[in-house]
Amino acid sequence: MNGQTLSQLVRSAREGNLESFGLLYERYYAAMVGVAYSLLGDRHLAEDAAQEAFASACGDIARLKRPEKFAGWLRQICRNVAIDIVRSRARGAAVVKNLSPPTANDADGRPGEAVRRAVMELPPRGREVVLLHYFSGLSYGQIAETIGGSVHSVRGRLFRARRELAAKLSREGTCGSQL
Amino acid sequence: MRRYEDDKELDGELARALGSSRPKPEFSQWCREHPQAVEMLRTSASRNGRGDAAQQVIPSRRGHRTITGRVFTMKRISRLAAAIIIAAVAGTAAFLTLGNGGTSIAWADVQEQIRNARTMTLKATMEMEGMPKWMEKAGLANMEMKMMFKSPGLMRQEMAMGPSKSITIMDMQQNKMILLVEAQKKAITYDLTELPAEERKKQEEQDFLARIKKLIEESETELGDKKIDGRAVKGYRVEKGNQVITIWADAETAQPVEMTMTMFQGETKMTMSDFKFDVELDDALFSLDVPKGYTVDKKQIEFKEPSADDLVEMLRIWAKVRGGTFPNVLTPSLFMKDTMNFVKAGKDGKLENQKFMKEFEKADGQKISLVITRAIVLVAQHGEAHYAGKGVKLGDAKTAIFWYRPKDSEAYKVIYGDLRIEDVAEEDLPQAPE
Repeated sequence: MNGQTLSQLVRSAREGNLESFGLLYERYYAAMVGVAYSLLGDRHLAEDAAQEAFASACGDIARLKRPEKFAGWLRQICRNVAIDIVRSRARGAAVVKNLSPPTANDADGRPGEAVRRAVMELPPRGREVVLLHYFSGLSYGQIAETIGGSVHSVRGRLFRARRELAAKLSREGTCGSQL
Repeated sequence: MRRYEDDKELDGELARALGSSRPKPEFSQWCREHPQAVEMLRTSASRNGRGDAAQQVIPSRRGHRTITGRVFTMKRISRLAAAIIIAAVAGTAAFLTLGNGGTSIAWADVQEQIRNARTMTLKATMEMEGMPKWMEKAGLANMEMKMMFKSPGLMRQEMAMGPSKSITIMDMQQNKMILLVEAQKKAITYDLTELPAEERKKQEEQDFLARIKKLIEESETELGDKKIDGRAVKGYRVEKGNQVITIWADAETAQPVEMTMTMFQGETKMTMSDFKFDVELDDALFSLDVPKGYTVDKKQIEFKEPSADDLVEMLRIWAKVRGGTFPNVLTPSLFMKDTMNFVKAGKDGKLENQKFMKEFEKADGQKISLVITRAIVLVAQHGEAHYAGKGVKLGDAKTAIFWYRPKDSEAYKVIYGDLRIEDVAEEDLPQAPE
């Protein structure tokens, strides 16, 4: 991160340094979209929520006492923003229900939509780690930093989520028999 | 068991379905679209530490559903505190055991004051929501306490909960604690000689305030400045599991002025105020002498680490008072509510309840209190713990109702509906409840 540690960046941002905040934005944007996506089920709304979360963070970063907790702190803000969106639009569940039927395939014939739907039907904790890993592209360590906890627990959570997904997709005949 | 972690096909499908267009940060565009946020950031340094608590963005606990989030969070609880809970209900102990002392450059002055303070007193009130009306009417949904500390190693706690009043006095130099129950004219004396050295040191050093300092160090959010009774104070907010703690400390001396703790999504609230330092406290207040007319019962406190066995015993009692079904959530207040309702029904004539109560009376009440305390602590200590007992019948051998991973253990302890305990590998755990 431009040679600076996370703590240095957060401290610098707290002092009003926009460049440092920009580096934090670049580092955590995808993660926050993933967090919001897991609650909203809608990519565009999730991007809106993540951007709004960063805006809220600007106003409160001065009060963040522990820079090393930035990711978890930002995640909570992002979750709150996403929950507010769900409430204000009263379409949290509807977003998921509006997706295509489980057997629908993408234009290339692959079962993308069905997979996405199955992911959104996972329990919240499993859904979040799957999205952070596959959608946001986070490593186990980055996920652990974002949601709190250890790499070990992230691995376990992801393992269980994948096991459930595999069972669900196999039942629906979406993926190959291997699943 | 098939290890899907290595399944490239599923990995590939997930990557294609979800990862084909990763979100890309466009910071310059974000800046253009959020000029007010940029301005707020640029002026944040000048606002630092002078925020308005009412306006802050506080990451709330909404949506937090792990069992830890529903249980009294008392991390690193001391075994001595477990003993105190017997006398004072879990709420007090939560405060006494919020953490260990630590070092801090910024708060070195506080530590010095703590060391130098000979005495300290405070008032505490605990309010519990969701209690049955009859309990509220009887004053059983609220608890009031007065606590006094005096060096070296003296503590007195006066507690009132409805008609029930008790006094607990502890003297670490004499290794003794006494509990006086006013209504029953009963005194219970406790021998603390088996108290582990580490716990003894903490009590002797009166690290009660050092724990407040530690909390302030751990706080992630500053609440800004305000005045309480004319004193300028600074606010701090700390979250521990489901417990939200707010501390207002004197802006100059850093001594605590007011603290509030809310637990279980606000279901339980504890407020501590009237902190006073170096007031004169007569030694007679800490006398271990048994008052005239009191009967005496001697007890030896069993100091042991919480284990799954404790939780099993608690769940056994709990399921019994609920008619054979495990509770929806594991919270001390629900346990208290269920138990009180059960006792009331027994007093109102329910024979089955009377029978169980009679059996219970024969048991060692103090031992059971400790078991329950350790059970609550066990759950609170394990962030990865899960409770899945809602609606499960006692005796259901197929359904796992609780699991957690003991410290330094690879395997999980799983408790089933028939209350047997098994060691289970992580990959074989049941699906976590939401």
